[in-house]
Amino acid sequence: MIRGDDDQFGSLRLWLRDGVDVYVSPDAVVHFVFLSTRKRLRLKVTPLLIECLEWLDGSASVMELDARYEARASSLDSKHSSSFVDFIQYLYGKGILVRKDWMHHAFCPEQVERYSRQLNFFLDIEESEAAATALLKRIMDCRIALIGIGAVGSWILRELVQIGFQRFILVDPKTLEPADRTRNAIFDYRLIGEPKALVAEKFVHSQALEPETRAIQSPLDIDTNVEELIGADTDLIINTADEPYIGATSIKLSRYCVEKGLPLLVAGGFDAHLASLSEMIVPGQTPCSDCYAIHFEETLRGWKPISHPIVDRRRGFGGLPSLSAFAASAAVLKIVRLLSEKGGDVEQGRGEFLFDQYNIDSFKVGRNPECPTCGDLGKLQAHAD
Amino acid sequence: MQIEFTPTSRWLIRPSISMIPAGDGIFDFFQSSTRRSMRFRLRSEIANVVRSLDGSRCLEEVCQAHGATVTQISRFMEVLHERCAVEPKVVRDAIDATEHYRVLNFLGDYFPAAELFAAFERLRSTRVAILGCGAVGSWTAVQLAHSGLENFIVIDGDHVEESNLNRSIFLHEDIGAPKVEAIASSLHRISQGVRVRMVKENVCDADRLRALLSEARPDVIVNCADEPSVDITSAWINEYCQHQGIPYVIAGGYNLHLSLIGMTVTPGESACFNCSRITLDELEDESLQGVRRLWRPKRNLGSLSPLTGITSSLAASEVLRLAVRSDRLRPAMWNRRGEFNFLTNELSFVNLPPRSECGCTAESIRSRVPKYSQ
Repeated sequence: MIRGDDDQFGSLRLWLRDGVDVYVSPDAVVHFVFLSTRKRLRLKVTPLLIECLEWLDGSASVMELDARYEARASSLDSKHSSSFVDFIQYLYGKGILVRKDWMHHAFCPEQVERYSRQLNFFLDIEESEAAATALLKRIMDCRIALIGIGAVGSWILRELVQIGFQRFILVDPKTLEPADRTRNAIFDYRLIGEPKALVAEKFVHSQALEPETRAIQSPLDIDTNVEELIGADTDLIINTADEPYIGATSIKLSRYCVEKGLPLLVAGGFDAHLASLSEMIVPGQTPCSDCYAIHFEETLRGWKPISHPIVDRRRGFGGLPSLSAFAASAAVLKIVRLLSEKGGDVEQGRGEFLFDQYNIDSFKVGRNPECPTCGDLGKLQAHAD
Repeated sequence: MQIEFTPTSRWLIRPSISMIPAGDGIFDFFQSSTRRSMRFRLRSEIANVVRSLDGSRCLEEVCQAHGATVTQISRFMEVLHERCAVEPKVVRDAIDATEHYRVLNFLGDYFPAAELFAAFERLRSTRVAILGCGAVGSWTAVQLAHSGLENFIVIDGDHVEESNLNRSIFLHEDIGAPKVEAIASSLHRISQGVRVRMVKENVCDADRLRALLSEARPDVIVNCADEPSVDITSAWINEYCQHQGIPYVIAGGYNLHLSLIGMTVTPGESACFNCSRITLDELEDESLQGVRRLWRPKRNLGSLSPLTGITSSLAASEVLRLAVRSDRLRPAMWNRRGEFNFLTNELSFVNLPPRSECGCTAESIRSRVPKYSQ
C-alpha cells in the first residue's frame, strides 16, 4: 500500500534498466547482473514478486503496480508478508530500477538524442540517475587545454567531442601536412596547409552542441609561460606534444599543475610509447612528472643506449593509426574515470599496450615523498591530518 | 628487392633501433616501435662497425675505419637484416620519400628491408569488406584508410542519426545520409585514391550475404553487424569464408559494455566461429546454468566512444596482419577472443582452440586455402 509521504514515490513510472540482466532460478532466487561492472546481487524473493519484475517496463506507476500486485495476490489466495513497495524501493535504491524519463529531467531533447546510450552506460557505472546525470554535466562543463593535435592528440580530441566535451583550448604550432593523412584523426586533404589548431577548432564547432574554443598556434617551449599560453580557466590539461620532447614539456606542465592543483594527462609521446596507456597526474594523489623522472632515472640507471649514428631520426620512427586510436581511447577512459564518482582510484604508474600479442605491460610507480615538486603536498596533508 | 652486402653498398642501423651495451661485449638491439629486443655478443671491431652505420659511407669504408673487413661483417649483416635491425640506404631513402613512412617504419620491425615494400603493397591493395557501418565499423574503416588501405566494400542499409554521433566516426553534416555514403566521404577526406564500393542494404539472410560477397570478392571481411545479432551474422560469414578460404575478423559485438575483441579466423589455419561456439557453450557461467533469463524486449544498452575505439583499434590491427599475408606478422587473435575492462584497463582473453568435432579444419578445406607467402 502507498501511504502519506510515499505518494510521490508512488507516482513514479519505474523500469528495469537495460544495463542489468535478470536471471531467476527455480528456488526463487533472483540474480541481478550489472553488465558493465559484472557486479551481482542475489535476492531470495516470493514467486509473486518475481512475476512483478516483468511488469516494470515504465508503463504504469508504482501505485498502479501496487494495486495490480494486491489484486494478483488475492486471486492467487496468496498469503504475502512482503511489501511490493518496499521491494521496489530497494531496487530503486540499488540503481536497478530507474524512472522511464530520467534523462529528460536534466537534458534537452537534442542532448538526450545524442547521449542517451552514453547516459545508459554512465548509469551502469555510477548506479544512480543523479550521478550519471552529474557525470555528463561535468563532461560538458569541463574546459580542457589540449597541447599537441597530432598522432594521439587528434584521436583524443575526436573521442572527447563525441562523448560531450565541448570547451577546449587547442594548442599546436604546426600546419596540416600531407603525411598527416597517415595519423591525424581530423585529417582532411582539403585543409592541408592550414594550422592544426584551427582545423581542430573547426572540427569541434562542427560536432559539439555548445562549443567554446580558443585556438592557439604557438609551441609549448621550455621558456613558455603556461598561463599566458592557455589562460587561467582550465580544468584539465592534456599533453601530447612530442616536441621539443614530451618528457621536458610534461615536467614543465606538471610543475604548473602541481602549483595550481590541476590534473594533467600525459598521453601519446614518441617512438617506444606508441600505445602508452597515458599517465593521469593528480597533484597530491599521484606521482607528478618529477616523481616519474626520478623513478626512471634510478630504475634505468644501467640502461643507456649508445648515441645513434643517424642524427636526424624524425622520419625514422614507426606508428600505426590503430595504435594511436588505442592510446587515445585509453587516455579518454582515464579522463572519464577521473570525473566519475565510481571510477575508482586514479592509477599510479605506467602501462604500455604491446602490439605483438596484445598484452598490456603495466607497473606501479608511487609518489616520491622527497620529490622537489610535489613532496610537500604529502607533508602538508599529513600535517593537516 | 635484391639485397647485397657488397663492399660498395651503404647500410644503416634503422633509426628506430636502439643499441644498448649490456657489458662483456653484449649488446641489446631494442626495436622501439614494438618494444622487442634481441641480444648479440660482438667483437669490438664488429660492434664499432655496426654502431657507425649511418648510410653515408659504403661498408668497405666503415669496415676499414674500424679495422674490420667486409667479409668479416657480411654474415652478421645478413643476420641483422633478417632480424630487421639494419637497412640499405636506398630503402631508407625510399621510406623517407613516402607519406606512409610511419607505417613502413612500423612494419620494418617485422619485415626485412628486402620484403618491406612488397608487404606494404599487399596491405595497400587488399580489398576489405566491412559488414555493418556503425560505431566499430566506421572507426575500423578510417583507421585502415589512414594505414594505407585503398579498397573498401562497405555494407549497411541504415542512415546516420544524431544518436550515432556519440561513438561513430560520422559528422554532424552526415545526419540523414546513408551510413555507407558518410563512410565513403570520410575515407575520401583521408585519401582521394581510396575506392569505396557502397552497398546500401541491411543484409537479412545468409543467401543474400553470400551473393553480395561473391560479387564484391573481398580479400578480408570484418564483421561489425549486430542485426539480427553478431552471432548470427558471424555464422553467415563463417559459412561463406570457410567455403571460399577468405579470412575474417569478428569486430562487433559490443558485449555487455565491455569491449569485445576478436576473434580472427583464417580458414584451415585457425579455429572458426563454430569452433568458438562449442568452447564458449562449455564455458558458460556455471552459476547461471539452469536459471531462466527474464525476457526484455527493445533494450537500449549503453555505449562509450573510447570502448569503441579500443575494439576497432584491435580489429584494424588484425586486418593489417591479415592484409600483409605473411608468417612474419600473423594474426594475434587466432583461436581466442578478448575483452577490455573499462574499470581496470585490463585486457583478458579466452582461448578458443580448433575443435575437431566442428570439422572445419578438414583437409578438404585446408587444400583450398592459399598458404601465406613469405
